[in-house]
Amino acid sequence: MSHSVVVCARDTACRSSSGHRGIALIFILTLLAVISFTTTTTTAGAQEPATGRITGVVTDSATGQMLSAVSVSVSGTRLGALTNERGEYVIDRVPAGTHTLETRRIGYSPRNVPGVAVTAGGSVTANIALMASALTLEAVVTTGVVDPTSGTRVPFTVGRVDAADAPVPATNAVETIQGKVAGVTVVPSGQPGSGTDIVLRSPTSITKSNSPLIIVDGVILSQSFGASTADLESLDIESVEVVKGAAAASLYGSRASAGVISIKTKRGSALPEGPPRFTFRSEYGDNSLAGKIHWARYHSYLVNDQGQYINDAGQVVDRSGRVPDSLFRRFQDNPYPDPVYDQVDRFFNPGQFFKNSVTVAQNTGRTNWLMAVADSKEDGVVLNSGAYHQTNFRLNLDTRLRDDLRLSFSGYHNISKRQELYGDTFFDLINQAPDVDLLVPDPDGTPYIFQGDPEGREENPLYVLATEDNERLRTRTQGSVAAHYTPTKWLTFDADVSYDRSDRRLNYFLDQGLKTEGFGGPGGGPGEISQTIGTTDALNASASANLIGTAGPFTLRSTLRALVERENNQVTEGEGTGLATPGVPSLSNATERLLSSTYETIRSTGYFVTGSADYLGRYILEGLVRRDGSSLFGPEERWNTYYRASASWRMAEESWWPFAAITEFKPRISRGTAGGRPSYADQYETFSFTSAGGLAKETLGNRFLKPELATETEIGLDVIVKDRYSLQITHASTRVEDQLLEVPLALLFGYQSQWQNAGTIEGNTWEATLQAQVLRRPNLSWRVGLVFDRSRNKITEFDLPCYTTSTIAYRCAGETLGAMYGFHFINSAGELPADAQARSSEFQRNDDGLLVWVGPGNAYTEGESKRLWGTKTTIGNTNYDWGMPIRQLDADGNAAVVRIGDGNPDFHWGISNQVSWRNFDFYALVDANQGGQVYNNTNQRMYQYGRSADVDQVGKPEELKKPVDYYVALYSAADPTDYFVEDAGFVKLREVSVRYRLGSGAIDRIARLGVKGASVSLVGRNLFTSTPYSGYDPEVGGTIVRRDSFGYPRYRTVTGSIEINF
Amino acid sequence: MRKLIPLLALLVLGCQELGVTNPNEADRERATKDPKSVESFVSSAFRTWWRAGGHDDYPSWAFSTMAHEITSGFADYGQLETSAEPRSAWNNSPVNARAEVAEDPFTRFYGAISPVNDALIAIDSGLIITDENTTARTRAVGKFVQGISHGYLALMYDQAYIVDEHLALDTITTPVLHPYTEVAAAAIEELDSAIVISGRSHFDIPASSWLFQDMTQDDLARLANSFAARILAYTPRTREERAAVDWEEVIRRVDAGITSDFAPSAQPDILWDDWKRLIARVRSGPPSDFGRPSYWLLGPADSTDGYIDWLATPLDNRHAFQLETTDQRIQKAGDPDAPGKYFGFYEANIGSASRGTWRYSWYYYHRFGTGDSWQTGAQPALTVAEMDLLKAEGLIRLNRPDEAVPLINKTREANGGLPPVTVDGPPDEQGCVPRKIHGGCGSLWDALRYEKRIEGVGVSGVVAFFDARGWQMLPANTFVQMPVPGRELAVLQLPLYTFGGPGGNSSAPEPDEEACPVPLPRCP
Repeated sequence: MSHSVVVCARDTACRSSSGHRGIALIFILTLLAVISFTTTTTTAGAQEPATGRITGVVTDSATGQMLSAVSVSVSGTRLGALTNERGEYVIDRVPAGTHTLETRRIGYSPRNVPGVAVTAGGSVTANIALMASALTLEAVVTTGVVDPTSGTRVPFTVGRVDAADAPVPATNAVETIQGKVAGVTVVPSGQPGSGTDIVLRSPTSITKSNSPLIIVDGVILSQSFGASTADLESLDIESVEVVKGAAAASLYGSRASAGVISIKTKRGSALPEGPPRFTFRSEYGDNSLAGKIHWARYHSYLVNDQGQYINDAGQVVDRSGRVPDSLFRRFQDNPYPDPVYDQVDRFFNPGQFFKNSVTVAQNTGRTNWLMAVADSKEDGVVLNSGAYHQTNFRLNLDTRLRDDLRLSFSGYHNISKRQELYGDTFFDLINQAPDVDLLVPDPDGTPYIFQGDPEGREENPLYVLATEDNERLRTRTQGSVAAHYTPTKWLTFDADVSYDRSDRRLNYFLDQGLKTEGFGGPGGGPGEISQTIGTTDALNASASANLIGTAGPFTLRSTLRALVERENNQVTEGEGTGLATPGVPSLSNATERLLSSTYETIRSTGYFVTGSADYLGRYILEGLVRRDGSSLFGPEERWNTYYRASASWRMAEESWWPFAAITEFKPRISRGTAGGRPSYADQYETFSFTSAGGLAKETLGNRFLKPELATETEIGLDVIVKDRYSLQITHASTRVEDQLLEVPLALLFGYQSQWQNAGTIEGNTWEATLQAQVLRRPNLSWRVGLVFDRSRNKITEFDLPCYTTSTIAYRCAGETLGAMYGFHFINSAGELPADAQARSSEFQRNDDGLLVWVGPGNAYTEGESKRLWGTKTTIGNTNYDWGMPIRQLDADGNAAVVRIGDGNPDFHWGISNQVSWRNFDFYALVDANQGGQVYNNTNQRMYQYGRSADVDQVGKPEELKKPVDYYVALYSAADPTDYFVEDAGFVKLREVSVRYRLGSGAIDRIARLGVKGASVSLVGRNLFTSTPYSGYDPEVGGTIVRRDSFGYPRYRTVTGSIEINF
Repeated sequence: MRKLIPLLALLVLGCQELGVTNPNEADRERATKDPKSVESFVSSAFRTWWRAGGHDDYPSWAFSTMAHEITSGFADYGQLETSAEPRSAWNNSPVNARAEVAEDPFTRFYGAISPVNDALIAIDSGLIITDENTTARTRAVGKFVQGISHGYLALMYDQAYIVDEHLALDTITTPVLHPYTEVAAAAIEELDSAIVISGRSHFDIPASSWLFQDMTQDDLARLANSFAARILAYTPRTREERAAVDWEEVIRRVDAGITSDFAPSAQPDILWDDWKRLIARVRSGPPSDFGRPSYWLLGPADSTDGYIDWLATPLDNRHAFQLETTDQRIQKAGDPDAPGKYFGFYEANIGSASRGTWRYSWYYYHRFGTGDSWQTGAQPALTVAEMDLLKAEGLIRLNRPDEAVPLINKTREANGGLPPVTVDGPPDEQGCVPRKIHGGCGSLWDALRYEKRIEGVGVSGVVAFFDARGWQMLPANTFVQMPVPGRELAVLQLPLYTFGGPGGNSSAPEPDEEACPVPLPRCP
């Protein structure tokens, strides 16, 4: 690395001499540019060369269809044009001579047309046929590289999804890549308006976020607050590029260890020159629950022959006086005397979905613009609650101020409102008894009863949802301005500024007199109110100088760039209780009030230099060094350096290449580093404020805190056959050192812990992407995309005691992220503690495969007949209950915490098919995980009071019936146990669409209305899942901790849409 | 050139200051030098102690349910596994999902001690907080918090660190754990320091924070003596150790102790008594739906044979029942359905039968309110009644039962509406309270223990456990003390150990409910 560009070595970059040298260098380069510009301008004005014209028509080579919006440019000049709707282009003022034309269009292979001879004052026709490319590999990529580069020349993997590959707009824009890019794991959140959890390849951090950096039109998306990605609009997306690890993402420095997702939105540049185009799109349909959990329908209370509740004395009693059946036959097999309900059916209700959008765009040649307004509402699936409403506005504008100066503006504004569900909604639901009618009104006038069960502990969630005013209001404003200045052929400048602002408000109001937790009596509670206001504004800017030159067969490129980032996060919260006056949702109305606030500022500065060289386009070498400083690092570790080195060999370009059908064969290797940043407070040695101004020690600061350092080596092979098939195979191995871990301290010192760089995690991933243009005929085309990935990860160093976290996760050297730990119910006598081995004959394996104590001479089937359920024994230091599951013990006699499962799938694949037949377009995406387990805590919780259908014993032979106590023992007081680990592999029909485009005849008939095209579609999302998993949906929990813990279930959406172009 | 000014401006902008001061929290540098900050280290320390000192979830739920005071069918806060019968060893593994039972108090007590030590070090180095008396106030309350923190560590754990302002932390390479007896002695010494400093100063303690009750320096000294009485009397792990307590000294401390209840005034979200909230809670219908007064607590007041029958029934076959009593704390006179002053009858089974129907209780608790009363108002935490009864125990043990009688009768008559006891116990008549577990009227010793348990419910979540182990009332194999938490042992790289369970260390022996410490009428 050149020392001169390491401009910041200490906190304040410009104080150091090296900093001065770096700035000076960029300054000199800038000056050179100006001189060059001035010279060029002067020369141009002195003598006008003889010129001519090039015209032509661009068509699809297979279908003969005229292609609009094809960029045709004269190589080595700034001259070019876009084709119009009839595929025609005209390029004027072309210097006389023989030229090469270059063409580019999304969805088509770039093509160079050499030998176009232009004479002074003459006109030459060059008609061009382009070959449609289904091959993402050939697309121009912009992420992870400093210049737009053809995918065939990029020496690392960049995943890409174009709008054309995503005919089903994703619920969350970032989920567009799910199933379409290899190495991507997405676990969506259920409720509309939520964020989504994404991991690229293998996880890179044990404790910090594994979410990739997300960039939209150059705006680095702040993710300092929840559900940041929910504000985006999937209809806006033109393309998404995914850079999955440090081998490619080094360009983004200390924020990029988890990879980068870069979203480009639609622009007017994709249109042919002409008048404004209008597109109206309307989508309408239903949200409905895709899967169910199963409710118990029977009870285990003492009843007489008529099924009436009786007490121990045999007297008929009402529900509140009922008593549990005797221990030896406390089976959940008695029908309720009252009606029973499937509470899933009572609580969930299909909601509506609509999304309307209007897009206006124009391309005038020098300027293009696009304006889009979209309004959507999604009810979700909870009865009358949880709706999400979003309205957004986008304006993208590009203009060529001069031939050498291009400006781009991207602006986005979003307003959304969501009815929040309170935290215990689904927990309260699963605790409802089947004989409680949730839909009867409460005496206080609320349409749903607060507590319909005299023995119930959890309230009716419908009452709470009906009485709480709980809403989330957000606005998001994003904007970026980019300038591209090309003073000479060999030097360009880029500068951009981006801004991302989020304003969030949470309003919660529960009026006095309404029942609530802790105030279930007729008088209700004193009322509560809270208002939280959060704002985030992030400003990012960069400036770069790019040098491009050729020296014989060599093409050389170099970029110097400086970046600056600032982000401010502020949250102010007021809450109050004891409302003085009913119905007034003001904090001033609260008799007891509390205020709190936090303010965070993050500042970062980065510099990088890249250099690349290729020889005849065959041998490509690239290097990058980035120096990053951030206020998040400890003051002694303020600056860190990242690098990337890459190489590839396009063997098919060699003259000796023997396989004509294989047009691209590119082995490649890339190795790079990137970082993961600490959280804001990690470095500070501070005293935390306790309520009312008290001070307490919590975390010891760390002046030496460094970013997590990811080093990734990626080796791969890109192959293209006959321009119809492409295969990309990649192996990536990642090592992330200096893991940020909260290390516990001896409490003697008063501090509980300190953040330290104290661990390493390693991962490796195999990926394959196959794309095939199986058919391409005038009336029939068929494209297939297949992605496959297999990832493994392991913690290899861990300098602190092993610990459990998130209930089932376990952090320890040698273990994976995704591993589940908990208690194991033993299955064989060999697992009994030593002191019970001598009496192992008293144990038997039951029909659930669990070893249970049955006592001498008994069988596990004799619990009822011999009245053995409920009896106990003590062997050694351990107590045993008859017939009950037994936890494995460790050497200390404690219940052993052991590995009980792993959420990491064995592998993942996705296959998409796009078929166009005449005026119909069919699309289907099937996505699958092989293996991978989920901890079903929802079902576990439903064992506590026998709410799960598993606890019902009806239909079982009498000797195999188990009392509810058996299931409560399996429930195990909510401790994690292997009994609730389920295989959550799945094959999912994730997206389907059928579109009918009106034919030209029909269009002609309505052309007088200005209609230029129209289509109708049927769209399905999350349509069907084949899985052994017993919960609502196997895509649940998070990407790392796969725990199904009564969250909002993922649901199905079926809609119809109409799109009209004017 | 001017066209490039924005470009250059950005480059200059890139050279920004990267050091950011955290505006959200006080940095150590300034906090330890500013007199007001140093004072706040001490003034906010008591509220850190408070939660683990019997006024929040950990370890109150585990301790109270183990002591058969409150019963609950829920697993939260470790209560289910610690109160399971037959009893098992405490799982001290740091990965135990209920590890907080042991971790939370250990963390909080040192969390209270540490900033106090910083403050005392600063004062010893010459820092003056406003004036001499204000400085003395900080020092006195600081020593008080040190004392009650070390004292409660001694009450709960077999060993702990002794760390005060004189321990040079920066020289420690291997932290030393001291046996609980040494920790208790250090605690008494610290409380005595607080008493001495209070005795030579003049200050007022404001109610707004500090101890959440208006106090003078004399009040603080009295409170320190009462806490010292607790530590002296409750530290023993066995009946034999309790008998060996210096009861003369306990009585001296009680006499020098509080003359009115120590009842910090709750402030929402600052200091409140979650123990009182949770045992009285009306969540969604039934009152006390999280934990309820156990039959072991209320049963001795039952004038029917319901309790005796309940005890005689195998544990797993026991069901909830309604009792009748003359104790007006449990029911209104003559009406078993009408609530008494502290408890009420509500026929609902809370929790799962599978956790044991013996955990069921048809009684709820409302002495300190049921709504949001834990968030405001006085929260009795150390009562004159407790001190009186502690003194009464000392007097009985010192063979002066006649002097104990009036102390027992104070609450018994005033709150329970019960006839006074004599040295012979309650009057031998139908409806006598308490009764013995096999029938017949109880002894004076029974009356003392009944009174202390009934009056103590809800005041502190841990005292019933300390009494039960010293009175040998805990179910067999209950752990009588906690080991140093597994998390801390792991940090210190010490081997894991634990207590309780069949054949384990520090396991309670078979309970011996009725044995009296000295010969008394009606004692076996």
